[in-house]
Amino acid sequence: MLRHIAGRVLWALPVVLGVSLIVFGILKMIPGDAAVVVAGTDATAADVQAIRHELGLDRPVYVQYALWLGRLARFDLGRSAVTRRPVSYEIATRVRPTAELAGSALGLAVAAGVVMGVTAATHQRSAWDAIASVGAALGVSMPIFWLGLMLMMTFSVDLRWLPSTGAGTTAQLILPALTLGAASTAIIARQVRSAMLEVLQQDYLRTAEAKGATRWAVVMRHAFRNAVIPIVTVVGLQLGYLLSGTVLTETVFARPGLGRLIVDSIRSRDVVVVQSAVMVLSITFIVVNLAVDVLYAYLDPRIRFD
Amino acid sequence: MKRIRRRELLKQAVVRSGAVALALGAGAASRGFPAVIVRAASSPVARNDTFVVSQGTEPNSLDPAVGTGPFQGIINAIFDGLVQWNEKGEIVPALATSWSVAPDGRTWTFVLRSGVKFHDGTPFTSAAVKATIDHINDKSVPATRRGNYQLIKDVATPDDHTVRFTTDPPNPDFALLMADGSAKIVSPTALRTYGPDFGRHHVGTGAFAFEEWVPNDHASATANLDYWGPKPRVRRFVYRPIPEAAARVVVLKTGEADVVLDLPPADIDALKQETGLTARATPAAEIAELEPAQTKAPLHDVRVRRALNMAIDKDAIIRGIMKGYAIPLNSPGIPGIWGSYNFAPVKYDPVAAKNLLAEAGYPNGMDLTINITDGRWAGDTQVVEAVQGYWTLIGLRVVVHSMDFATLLVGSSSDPDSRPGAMTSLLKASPYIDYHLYRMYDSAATNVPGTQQRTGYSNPQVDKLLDQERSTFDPAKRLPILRQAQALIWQDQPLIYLFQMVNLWGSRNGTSGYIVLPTGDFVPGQLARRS
Repeated sequence: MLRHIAGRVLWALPVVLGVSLIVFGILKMIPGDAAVVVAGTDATAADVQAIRHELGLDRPVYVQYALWLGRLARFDLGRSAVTRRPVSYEIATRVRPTAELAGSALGLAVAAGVVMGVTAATHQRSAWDAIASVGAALGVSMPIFWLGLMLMMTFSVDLRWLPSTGAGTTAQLILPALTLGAASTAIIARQVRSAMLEVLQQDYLRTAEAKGATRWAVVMRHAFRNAVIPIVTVVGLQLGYLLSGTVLTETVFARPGLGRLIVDSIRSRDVVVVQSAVMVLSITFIVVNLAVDVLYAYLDPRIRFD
Repeated sequence: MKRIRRRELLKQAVVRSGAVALALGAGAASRGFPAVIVRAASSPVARNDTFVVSQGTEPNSLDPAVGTGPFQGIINAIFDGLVQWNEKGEIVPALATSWSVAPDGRTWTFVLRSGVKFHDGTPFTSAAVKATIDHINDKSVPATRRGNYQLIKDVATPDDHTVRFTTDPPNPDFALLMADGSAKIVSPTALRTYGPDFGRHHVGTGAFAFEEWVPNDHASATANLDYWGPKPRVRRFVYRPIPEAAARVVVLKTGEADVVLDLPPADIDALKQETGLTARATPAAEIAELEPAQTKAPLHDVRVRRALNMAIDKDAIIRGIMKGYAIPLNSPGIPGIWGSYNFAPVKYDPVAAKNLLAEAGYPNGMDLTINITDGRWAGDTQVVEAVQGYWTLIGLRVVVHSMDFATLLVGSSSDPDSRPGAMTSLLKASPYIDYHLYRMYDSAATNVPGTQQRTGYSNPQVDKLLDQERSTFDPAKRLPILRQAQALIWQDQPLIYLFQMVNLWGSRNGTSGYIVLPTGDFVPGQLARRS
């Protein structure tokens, strides 16, 4: 077991390094001079040069990368070029709202997705199945910004039930979580349905039914447990989608968060902040996938010995 | 034992796996960074007592010297300037009760209001004014408008309530500079105490004292009970940056915000039908234009530039694309600001434009490039594409290059010789006429490295007239010179003039005590709202 975990952790390290190279590389390749933007409209060429030097942009690219990696390893992220606040402050103030949003969207997606998927699979070709399929198709196809605005129009403007924007209270979390979780709910529901359908055809389920087990026991204890591995995989992958979806959701609902921080910082060419925030999200995703891998081993003892 | 754990896990695995892992990731991240305590929203204040203003942009700083942008409302709430703009576009007293300029035009004396205290208790004196100017000139402070203050050669403080500025060259608009958002007076004690972190500890003399700033969520301030002016009738002022225009419309409709700025043109007509709120379109001190590089052929020829202006049906663009929310522009200045003059419109006439081009030696058209950053304002790309269409109709070959704003600025500030036939789509906002005419048309500004509007336009007569108006202190004598300079510029048609912008904003009924300036800045006064 430990060997399995250790192996997975070791594999994650080169992935982190690769991600850091990509993040750094992309930001180097996009056009636009960060120093010019930071300097502002009334700056002289000398001011721009001074800022370029201050940001280290006048050094060779590989030196910039190495210095950045070194700082990253020490969690010394420097200061935002725009707000002059420490990057760690900029990120720390946004981690919680994003974690709340992505966490509740995922919770919602898993709960609703499993219920929908299991119902659809056990009532195949019934009205439930049709409703779940149509719902899943809608959930996947609705763009976040459109769904978000529609929910706002309905629940904030027309019904006046919920606040439209902002963050801090539970009421303010409901609409963004629904918006962000919709597509994942649909994807998880479809995955649960197909995984369950496959398992439900197995002989041992007929045996279980024949021995007199209740329908609930057959479905949840015998079938669902065996369908759970592919479902966990999808759930893990969904977190990546959710983290990227927070960018749009946070913008539409004017919530603070890592996604919006990244968008704002890209707009203002605040490279230091973009790099660090993207790294935080990437590492989160890597850690989640690591956790999913480890979870497999718990769920299915056979995997431990592969 | 192990079996039970596994079964337990099985039940919860699906529900928790993602959430737990995210929490782990987040936890790891926050453990690595220095501990930061984010203050939770302060004691609940009834919404009745809170005045909420929303606009699209997160402040980069609340330090007046640094934070210039469409979030001026919160800075105006916390800080006062020596003087300020009123709704008629006049300069009126604020922290200074009166001011005068010496006959040589170089010495400006401001008499300061007495008995005023900063929110931290520091008395407001001439030392605070000097500290503020020193702060702006401090190279370690990223003050975006520092260039405008270079004319200040000395700040003298003969006594606590008198401050004397010496400028070189003499400038009749010095009082206007003191009304700028960047010239708001900051507490010298706070500057000393917080140093480079002043941008997070905002101490002014304003009607509201800084309360908290939760990045990307809100910045707030509470009513200053010792305020020297009329005291606000609400207890709290909140600025909320809401980036998505449609969401700003929603908060105006629901009443989650009292005043919302930068509304999308497409929604104004519908908002006007809503009860409980008022949607407005007021002229902005901002114009939309294309800036051609004109040191070389083909755009160095005034006939070509005139023909290009003539070939665009600007009224149709205002009606069709801007939905009527733009104003025809017949001035090289900015209509509505003091000293700006209107001239005979360049009428839409594609046939005459084609003839003029032939006369200038381009019977077969020419190649042009328009550089644009997509999405800087509602409708920008459609407007430029319409222009492209109109020019294609008279036989020109026009390419539109879309690029990010940083790249666009690098282009527009590059040597005009290096980009003949190219122009840049930009908005230009100016607080006063000399600022505008100088940076757009004076050859000392139009072809200097580092300037954004590097068109290379140069007319020695215009330069001379601008020099002259800038050293004329008597408004009655200055206006004719301004008129003459603008008439000359209008003949030269150095820019492709599209239209004047309007500020689109809305307010809940029952709100009062504020103005929205032509610059789009929200200025809170004796704020009140009816619940």
